[in-house]
Amino acid sequence: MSHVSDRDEARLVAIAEELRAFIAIDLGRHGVSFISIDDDLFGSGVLDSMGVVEVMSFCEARYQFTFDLSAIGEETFSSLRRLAGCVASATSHT
Amino acid sequence: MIDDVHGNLYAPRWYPNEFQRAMVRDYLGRRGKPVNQVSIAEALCSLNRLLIDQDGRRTVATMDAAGIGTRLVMILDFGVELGEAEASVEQINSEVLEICARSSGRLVGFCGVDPRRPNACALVRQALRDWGGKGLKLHPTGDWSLLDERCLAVVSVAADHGAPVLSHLGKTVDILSDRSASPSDFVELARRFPSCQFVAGHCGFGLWPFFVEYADSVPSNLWFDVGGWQELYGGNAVAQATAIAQLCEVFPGRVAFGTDAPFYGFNMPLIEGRWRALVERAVGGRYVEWDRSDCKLRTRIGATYHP
Repeated sequence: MSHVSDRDEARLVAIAEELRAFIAIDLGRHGVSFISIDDDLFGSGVLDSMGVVEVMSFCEARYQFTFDLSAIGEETFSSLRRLAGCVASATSHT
Repeated sequence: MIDDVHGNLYAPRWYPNEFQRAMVRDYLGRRGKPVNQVSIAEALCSLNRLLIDQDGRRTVATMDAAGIGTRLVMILDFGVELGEAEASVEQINSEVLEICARSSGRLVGFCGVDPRRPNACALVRQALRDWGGKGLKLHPTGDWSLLDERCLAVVSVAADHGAPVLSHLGKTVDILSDRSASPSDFVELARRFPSCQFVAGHCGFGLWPFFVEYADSVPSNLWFDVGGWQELYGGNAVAQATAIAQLCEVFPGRVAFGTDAPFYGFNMPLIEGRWRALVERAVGGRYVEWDRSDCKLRTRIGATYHP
């Protein structure tokens, strides 16, 4: 069990780091480099409304899935970990 | 729930192609992205997925999730300036107003017409009398002024029907001009129709200090909305809240919540809910509501919508 969990955690962290790189480089929000994977993306000033749209578009293009827009809530973008978890969950069949 | 005094519905057939492309250029520019044929086409595709709502259902669902009660829906007529949309101005008004009329009061339609159209007055009259329009939207970003006789004529029609008038003020997209969308002209317009309610759309964006500086000249029938302020001050929430609080101090009970949806919230409850919460805190217990009984704005004092 723990072996599978470790693998899942590693994938989640890998996705989170890709998201971090996108937010820092493409969105120019370099502050993301200094927050932890669990820090609040809004509270830390890393994301704003257009940032959400950009990150969403990036995720869909990079990981080949479509967000259920009605299901995207505050918690989805609350941290890199939560966002990566959504991506991992949406793409778990691949 | 708080009322949104400035929103829209979006479907490509209601907006000229030139406007759609300008909207995308504006979006890319705000993000500091390269603007070229490819990026415009790609962004238009992804924005359309978020923005389109041809029957109002998506909008109302977003409002429900974001804690928004009633939304005043503005109809925009850019046809004279930018070339006609796929739908005629009559179709745009009748279709959008019909959607609003079927929304059980959640969406309240404001008709929109360029006063330069030869049939502008007749169209406003028909929209208010027959199609369920409750107000008039002006967008003085073409080659006409708010004090132009043709504009005064359509405002007269609205005033005769007791319908409020909301005008876009301040910055706009690159193919339109903000030259005539000035707070000073709007103040003068409101003074000429003292029995009619007027709403300064977006508070003029960055021009809002004009109203504070010249507060003595602002008549009591002039109200304000903060739709589109989501990205003012680079999206800095503290600066936005401070500015709203300043306006509220000078014009207590006359500063309304607004979104300019879906253009800043992208029909996403997450984004609209955050903006709603910020404005609710900033207005300090004096809210502006849409009164369904007489189709007017009114102030509600002391209520907390989301304790």
